[in-house]
Amino acid sequence: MGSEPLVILVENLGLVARSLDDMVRPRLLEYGFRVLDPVPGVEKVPPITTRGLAICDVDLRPGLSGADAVRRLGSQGWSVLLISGQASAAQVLDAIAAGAHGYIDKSSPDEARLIEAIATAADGRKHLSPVLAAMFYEDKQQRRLPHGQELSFSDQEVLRAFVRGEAGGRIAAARGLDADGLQRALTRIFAAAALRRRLHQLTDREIDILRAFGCSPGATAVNVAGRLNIEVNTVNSHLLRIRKKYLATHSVADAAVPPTQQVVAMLWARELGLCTETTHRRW
Amino acid sequence: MTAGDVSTACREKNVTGRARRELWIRIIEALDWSRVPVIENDISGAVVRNEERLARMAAFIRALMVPFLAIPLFVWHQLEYPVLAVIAFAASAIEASWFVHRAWTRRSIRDDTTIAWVDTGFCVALMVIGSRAATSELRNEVMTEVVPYSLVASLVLGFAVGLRRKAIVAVFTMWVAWFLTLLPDLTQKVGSDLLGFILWYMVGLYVSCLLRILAAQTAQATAERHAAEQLVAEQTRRLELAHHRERVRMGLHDGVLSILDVLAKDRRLPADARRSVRRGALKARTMLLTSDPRKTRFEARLIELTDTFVDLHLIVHPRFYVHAEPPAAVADVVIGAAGEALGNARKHAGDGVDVYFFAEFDDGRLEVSVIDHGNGFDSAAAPRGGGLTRSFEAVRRIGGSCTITSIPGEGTRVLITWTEAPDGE
Repeated sequence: MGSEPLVILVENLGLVARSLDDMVRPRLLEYGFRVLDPVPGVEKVPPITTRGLAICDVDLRPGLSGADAVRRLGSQGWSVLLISGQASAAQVLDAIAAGAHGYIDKSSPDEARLIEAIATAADGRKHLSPVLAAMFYEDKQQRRLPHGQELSFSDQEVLRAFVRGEAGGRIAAARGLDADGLQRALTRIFAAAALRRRLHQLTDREIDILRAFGCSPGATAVNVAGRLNIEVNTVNSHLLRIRKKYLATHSVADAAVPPTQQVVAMLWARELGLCTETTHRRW
Repeated sequence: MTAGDVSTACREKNVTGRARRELWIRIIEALDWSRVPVIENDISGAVVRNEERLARMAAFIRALMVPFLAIPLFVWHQLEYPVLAVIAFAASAIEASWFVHRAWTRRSIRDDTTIAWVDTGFCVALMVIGSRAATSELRNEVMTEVVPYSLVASLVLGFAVGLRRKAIVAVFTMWVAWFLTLLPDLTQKVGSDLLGFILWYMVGLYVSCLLRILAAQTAQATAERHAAEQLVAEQTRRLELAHHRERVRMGLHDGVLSILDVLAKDRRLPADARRSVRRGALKARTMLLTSDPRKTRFEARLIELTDTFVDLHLIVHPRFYVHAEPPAAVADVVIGAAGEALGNARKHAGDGVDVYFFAEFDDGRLEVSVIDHGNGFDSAAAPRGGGLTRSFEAVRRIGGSCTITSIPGEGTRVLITWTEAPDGE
């Protein structure tokens, strides 16, 4: 294995993988990257000891997907740049919180920007695309960090400028920052976004209960308890905590009375994509 | 006495004082129906029906007391002025009829001070005139028949006026009138008669307060149940919407967008075909992003504007955070300016250039921007307003600002801002 940085594309849709590979491979080779063949899942990605970037689709179900996929790639030594067509904000933000360096929209036809994003992430730096900035911005409006942990006014303005679609260079110039200064601001923005996701994060057991309760219309605490082989009281306690976390992280100002546990379970399970049995192949 | 004893005594005194205050508060709460919360959303009509029942109850009792005044007529030959007894009976029948009619037609005697004062005044007059029908020796006996009729006036004061100083004064007035009209034939019975006025007033307060509390609680519970039913309906609707959005999202994601994205990048296709494919993908994404039915009218107009320009082959990325409705005049001007900015981007930014259309209205500050990374232009050489002359002036007229910055080869930024005046104008 040579010393040039590695790039691998992790994409479970063959058609998309080939198209992306055809598009970026020649340019990446020009940049001095070594491009490995695309793989359909993170399980097929080899561990590395040198610098390497995995361009990874957010939704790789039924295999390891989203945040789990990012963690797996991280443990193998890879930096991760997320890519997706229309992943939900929750999936993307959780994957970012797991350590991904950026997220780009597959629809962007701008090769130059795609290559720039890849080069930035491969270098271990953060890349903030307008679409990811918008996700950060919306999440920031819903999940307020405790006093003292929220972004400074200056960093918030940087984030807002990215949401507006301004170019990184012009954002930095307008604020008298150099490239490193802007990168430090982005690192703080990513860290705050990760912290926001950890706040009121669901535990694995809560996700199990959310899936069991929220994805089966008519499910009761009794049959969920039976299915998961736990006490009914335990299910009820989890549902209470799930509802509390949901209310802390979602705007329900339009509702006259906050939603019930059952409704919360159903809404959140759908939002997190827990009820989606359909995969690309099964569709 | 030691300091400790003093301290203990003080503490005990405080505890006793607090207990007394609490008892007093409980008594007042049990008697003062003006403290019963008003239920604005009385959808079940429980409060209205309760007032109707109270009014009818008072009318019924008032009417039932009239026959008592016929009893003195049976000792006609013993009366000093029997005609006064006839007048008292006839007048009471008329007053009771008026009372019943008023209570029945108004369907409430709550705060009906007219009915209370007329009834009290009539009872005082009845005592004065009725008592003159009998000789002084027979007066106490004859007046016994007036007692039930007069006590009802105390009850009515409790129902209609409540625990107020003027009602207490009215009870006291009847008390004094009763005492004076019996003179000089005062017996032990006078004490129970006088106590009766107070007790019936208290009963009136307690019964009406109790029933009004029950009615308010019923109305509140019904309103809460109704709200809960509405919530369930709303949540069911949201759930169905979430189901639907998820199905659409997955359908577009797995079945449409992935393929469109690939086609949009496929260089074997002609450039205009790739652009059309990309426009289709963009419209689908915009639809997913902006399908929240809770959006404001202003946001709906921004989305409409976006759709218009996407149809005109402009690659627009909408980002809208509209948390309130800006004034209509401001919205019109800003939408006009944004439309002009998007129109300029379409004409001058270049082919296939991404245009970011951002809008935010929060805390009284409206900001709309249209940013592209296209051709740009030389601001110094361009006319004032950078091609947005009309909109520029319109935005300024509503108290907003519009700035255009452009660098050749790097793109153009149009920024429109407007801030609500502190008085909301």
